[in-house]
Amino acid sequence: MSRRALQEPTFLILTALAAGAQHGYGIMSDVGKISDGRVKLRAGTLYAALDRLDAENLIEADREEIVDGRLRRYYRLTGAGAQRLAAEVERLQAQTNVAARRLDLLGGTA
Amino acid sequence: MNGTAELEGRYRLLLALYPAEHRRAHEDEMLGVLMTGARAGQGRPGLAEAADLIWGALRIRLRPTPHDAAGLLWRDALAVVSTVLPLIILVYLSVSALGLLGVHGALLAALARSDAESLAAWVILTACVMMRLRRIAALVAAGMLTWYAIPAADVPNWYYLAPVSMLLFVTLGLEAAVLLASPGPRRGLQILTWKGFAAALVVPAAVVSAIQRLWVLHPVATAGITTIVIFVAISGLALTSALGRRVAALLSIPGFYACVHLLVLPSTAGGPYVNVAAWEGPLRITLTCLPLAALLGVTIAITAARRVRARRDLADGPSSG
Repeated sequence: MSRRALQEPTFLILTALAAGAQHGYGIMSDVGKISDGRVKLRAGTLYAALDRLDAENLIEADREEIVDGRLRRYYRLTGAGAQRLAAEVERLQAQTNVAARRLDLLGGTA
Repeated sequence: MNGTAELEGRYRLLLALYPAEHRRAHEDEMLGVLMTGARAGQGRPGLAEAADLIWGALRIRLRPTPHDAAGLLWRDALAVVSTVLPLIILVYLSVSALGLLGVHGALLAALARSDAESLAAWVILTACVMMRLRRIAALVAAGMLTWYAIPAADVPNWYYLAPVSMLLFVTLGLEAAVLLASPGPRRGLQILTWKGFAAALVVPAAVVSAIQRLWVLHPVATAGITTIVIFVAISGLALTSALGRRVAALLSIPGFYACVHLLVLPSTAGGPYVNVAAWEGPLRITLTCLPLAALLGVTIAITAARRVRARRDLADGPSSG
């Protein structure tokens, strides 16, 4: 079955969770680091994405903590989420390889 | 109020835009994220942050749920409506018929049409529904629609577009449609609770009783009270659950014509309804047909958009964040 490409924020959120369970603010910070500061997730976008990814069974709640009187819920990748991310990495790699080969043929840099 | 509390209050206002279910699950958590990310001394959300929260709330509200994607919730709502709608009308007509002795006025004569044939037809339709005879009930509803429509078409002054006629046509058309488009009363009777049945009996009985007791003395007040009763009943239903919202949306179509009919009648007191000049021609079309057309158009557009999106998501897998 053909699948649409993940858009960048979704890809980055799944990538952040691939390192282990993280809470909302942790995901936002990690996405900033992974993208070298280029993508700055905000809470509205993050929780809309988490809500949908949870509904699609790609992530799930891991545990909850109370820190400074505030709730922190940690999220982790599910097996289906890890598979989806792996499929996306494979797809991107295949495209990148094609691009690199063609640039080599043209005498450019990959 | 210090800066932190003020900022938290403003964030809570923005978070109030999210659906209640989402707020229950995530409000404290989101508030923690927002407050952790706030600058020292920040007193209000930034413009971009506020826009992001509003956009996030909108996306979550518009997202089809798994139930929506499968159409199960709507199918259940159609089944419930197919079961209660004839019951509501039958109760209304029966209470009207019982009280009609000694009561005069165009309202009951026109709205209830409680002649013996009409009442018998609604009894048959309701009996078919209660016996779970879905297709036969749909045929009876379609036959009754034809039975009402043919004579109305011959009456002058656009009578067939008057709210009272539209109420009958829309109710019977809706009943035939929901019977054909859903599992019908077989499913509706499984879903309906005793509270649902009680409401289907009490609300129409209360409306018709109010009309019969008060109309002659206070027509405007009676129209107002009965409209409020209908509005409160439908709104209350909409607040109960996602299924209740869908049932309320469907029942609001005949409910709209019932209210319009009641509200416009006070101005017509003193003359036969069909001769009221104000309701002739384009004005009658505007006030009776366009709201229904608009409602149907919006419903079809929303349903189509949600179905397209749900199918796309099911076929293509996850989409973007």
